[in-house]
Amino acid sequence: MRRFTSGAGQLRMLLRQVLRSPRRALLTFLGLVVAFFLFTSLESVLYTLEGLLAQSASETGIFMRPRSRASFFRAALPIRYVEQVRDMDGVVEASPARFHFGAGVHEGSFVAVVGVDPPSYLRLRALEGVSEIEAQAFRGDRRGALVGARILASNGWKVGDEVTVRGRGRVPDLSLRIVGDIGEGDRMGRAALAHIDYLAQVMGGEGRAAFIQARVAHPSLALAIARSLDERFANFAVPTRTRSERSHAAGILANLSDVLVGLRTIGYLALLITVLVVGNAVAMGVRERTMEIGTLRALGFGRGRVVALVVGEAMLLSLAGGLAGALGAYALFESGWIEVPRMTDLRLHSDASVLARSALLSLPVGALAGLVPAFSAVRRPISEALHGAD
Amino acid sequence: MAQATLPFAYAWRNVLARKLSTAVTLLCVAVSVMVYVVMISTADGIERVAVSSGHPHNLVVLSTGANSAESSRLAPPSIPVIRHFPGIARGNNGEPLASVELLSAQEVRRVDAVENDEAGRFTPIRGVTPSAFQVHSGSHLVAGRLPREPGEILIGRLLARELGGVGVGDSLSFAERVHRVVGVFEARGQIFESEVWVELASLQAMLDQRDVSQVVIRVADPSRLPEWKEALSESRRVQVDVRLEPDYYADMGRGSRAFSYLGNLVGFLLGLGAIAAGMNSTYAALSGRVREMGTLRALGFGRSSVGLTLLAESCLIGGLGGLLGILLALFFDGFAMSLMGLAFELRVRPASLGEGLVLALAIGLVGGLLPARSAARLEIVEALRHA
Amino acid sequence: MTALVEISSLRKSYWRGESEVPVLADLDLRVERGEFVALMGPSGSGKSTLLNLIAGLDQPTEGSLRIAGHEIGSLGDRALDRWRNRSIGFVFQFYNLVPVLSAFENVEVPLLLWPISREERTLRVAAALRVVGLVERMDHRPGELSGGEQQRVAIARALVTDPLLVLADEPTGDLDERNADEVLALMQLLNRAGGKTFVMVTHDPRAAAQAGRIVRLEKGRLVDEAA
Repeated sequence: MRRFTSGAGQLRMLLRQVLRSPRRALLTFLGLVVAFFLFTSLESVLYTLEGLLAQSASETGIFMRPRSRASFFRAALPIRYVEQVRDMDGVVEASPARFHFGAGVHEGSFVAVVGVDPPSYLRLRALEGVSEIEAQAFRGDRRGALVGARILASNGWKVGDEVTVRGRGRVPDLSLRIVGDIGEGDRMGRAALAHIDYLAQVMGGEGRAAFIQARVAHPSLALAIARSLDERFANFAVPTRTRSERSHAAGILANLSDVLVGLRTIGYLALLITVLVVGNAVAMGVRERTMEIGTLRALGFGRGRVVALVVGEAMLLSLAGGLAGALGAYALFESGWIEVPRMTDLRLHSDASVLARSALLSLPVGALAGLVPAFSAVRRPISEALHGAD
Repeated sequence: MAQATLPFAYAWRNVLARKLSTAVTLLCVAVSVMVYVVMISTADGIERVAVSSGHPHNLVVLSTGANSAESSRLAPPSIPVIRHFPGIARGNNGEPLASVELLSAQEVRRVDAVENDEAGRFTPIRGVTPSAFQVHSGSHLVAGRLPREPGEILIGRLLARELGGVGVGDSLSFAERVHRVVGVFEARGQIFESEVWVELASLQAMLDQRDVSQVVIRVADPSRLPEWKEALSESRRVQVDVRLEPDYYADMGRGSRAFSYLGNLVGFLLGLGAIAAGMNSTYAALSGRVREMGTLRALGFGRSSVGLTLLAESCLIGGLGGLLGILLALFFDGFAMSLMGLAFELRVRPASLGEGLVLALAIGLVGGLLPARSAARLEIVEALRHA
Repeated sequence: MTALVEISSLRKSYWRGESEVPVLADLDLRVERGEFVALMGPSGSGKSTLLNLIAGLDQPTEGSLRIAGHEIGSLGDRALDRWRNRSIGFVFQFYNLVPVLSAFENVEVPLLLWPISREERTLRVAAALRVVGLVERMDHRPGELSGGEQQRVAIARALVTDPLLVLADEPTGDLDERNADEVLALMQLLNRAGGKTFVMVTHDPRAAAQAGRIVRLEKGRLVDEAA
């Protein structure tokens, strides 16, 4: 009896039960691996999407655009607003930006150039993969540019090159000197940063920006400051519309919400299949062991102990398969192998938290799956079970 | 020699006999099939909008270098030049069939959502003139009337559904003000159904600009389409890029391909899970009938007939699960969804249902192969001795 | 006239690794048409093995096994299946009926391999059921029949092909006294009035008493014969 009450002994007994029919255990394990692989993959996709938006929306960021919102890309904000934004109480730093879209080396390739004011921009936020030397070079060279790694790769450019971003039709070409590269994980990882006044000199529209980014001292101030700024500029030549980056992201999230709901649902359906598969396998085992369970109960094992045994078996199976499946998905996503080409040019990845959550979820799922067979096992009167009735 | 296979009734009744096991496998198959069909139908829904949007004789005229209406800017002087370009078809009243349009994506919310400070969806707002309905064939009002005053708007059928059943008389908020819906229009499943249409002048006033995004023109003689396309692109009087309208919208098809791919992948994975469940069930069925199968063999039935009947049972369960799965999937037909501002309806095609059934039968077949082989390899004497 | 079953120098062994384990050794046996033979012996004596060999369910290691003049020891798998279907009727200890088929359908099973029409099958099945006295219960499934009734269905199944030989393995093993008597009486009737040849393995002396001849085996050899 002592053997059964010791933890290790019980675990060994559980293992032996599970491996009673190795083939069944293997099949159930495989089913679990697949289901949890799918679940974890979907959770990773969701994690990436939600993270992307969170990343692009810092909590202390605010975003100012012209109220008319004629075009997101048109430079209509006067750059002199920047001073006034910076002066406002609670604003830590402000920086203007404008857009230019051109073509790269190959026909049909696409280069997005964002013109910024380097000193204030670099104070506003840190760029991933840009060293202090590169930042300094960028500040100092009017024609200098920090280019995203992707763009460098697809055009065959490297740091130090003098390159041309070709304009379409009558739009002039833009010649730049690459002084540094931006890491892929950065918000600007797929763009090229250039000087805003150089851009204005070539393209026209001096003294104008498409939007002004700013950072506030504390997230709670974002909304209030945004409103105050709009009030201040309400009667100026170009009235403004300022919002916190967070609410902007929320809007994009709303657009994706259907997809997110759909992915979540599929994930839960995968878990449902898990419950069914494990439950069925455990139920089969219980059916085979009617006499054995009857014997255990005759020997003094209470109902609770038998239930614990069966549920334990289910949880063990679940954990093994769930861990394997979750690990597989985690490894796949973290390897960087998964890319969604062309549609959104997304690099899907995962996180230890996703892995942990998925793997741990296998335990309650297993417990749930084991409950029904467990209760059916103890429901039968002992004498009937001993007779081997089925 | 007479039938060397066991009768179908035998397989069918055995399937019914193991209620719980059958039910579990059936459910797993049903879920796999349902998810697969729904995802493929999502792809089809997106594809349908992409494929059906745009008239084959329409040209979309954008400013040079713009690859979408969003980034296109046509100044007022260029508009009459484009409108009076030779080759444009004429409407009943002799006016050129040219739709001058301004597009802007705005965050659209129902008025009550504004009060709750909920986020709205980014929706395309299209500023149009009456000729829009002629150029974009298939679009017509199904309720209400055309806008007469500023502040009055039209809403596409799908968008109305997406926003929770918005109709004539309801109000929507965007661009800092409240607008009243005076009409609902439909456009044969084209992308326009997920848009808000307003008077061009109203939108220009709202956005405080006189530029437009594009002009969509109908060419009178379709055989000369390439000619006019080229002539307009090369024209010295305006700097424009010209695209065939259907091509312009075909790009949306990219999104549908992602869903197709995802659907196949997910269906495959879930199918593997169902195969595992099915194989377990079938092995269990076998182990419960070893003596029975031995008896049948003793009575003269060959190895293959015993194996085949087990395989038939597995396929039967797969088939039933498939039927349930496609029935469930059918519920989603016509389901309104939106992705990145594009509203569409899920479209369940008969072909997708067929594919779902094939998936189900494949699951049954693969799941039943190994157990069937075990059954066929039974040795009669040992089998008869089995419990 | 040749005996129905002619066995000479029969040997059957199993192999455990390298060593040969003999189950039947140097066996000679004759069974005439119309006989009712009981095979008896302690467990491990090889009586069931002998029955399996006669049934064509297994192949002898050495020796001659002729049934109705045919050397069945040399038949291939398919041919053996066919021969068994036509020539042998089986009665098992646990009836071995298919639970999802009705009594009628159970009796019909062996005939499904015959190139005859449905009507003809029905006629034969009905006749067999009539003989065992279970026509009224023919639509019932085995789960709805008593042990004795199930065994009678099994006997009907054994008869429906009009086999040369009916082989019974502990036919009364799972039955109570009354049912056992009924089944044995039926078998006796079929043997005496119907001329069916029976070979029965049993350890039940009452069952053996019904037989015309008792053959005893011990350690794979024939040790005794009595009428």
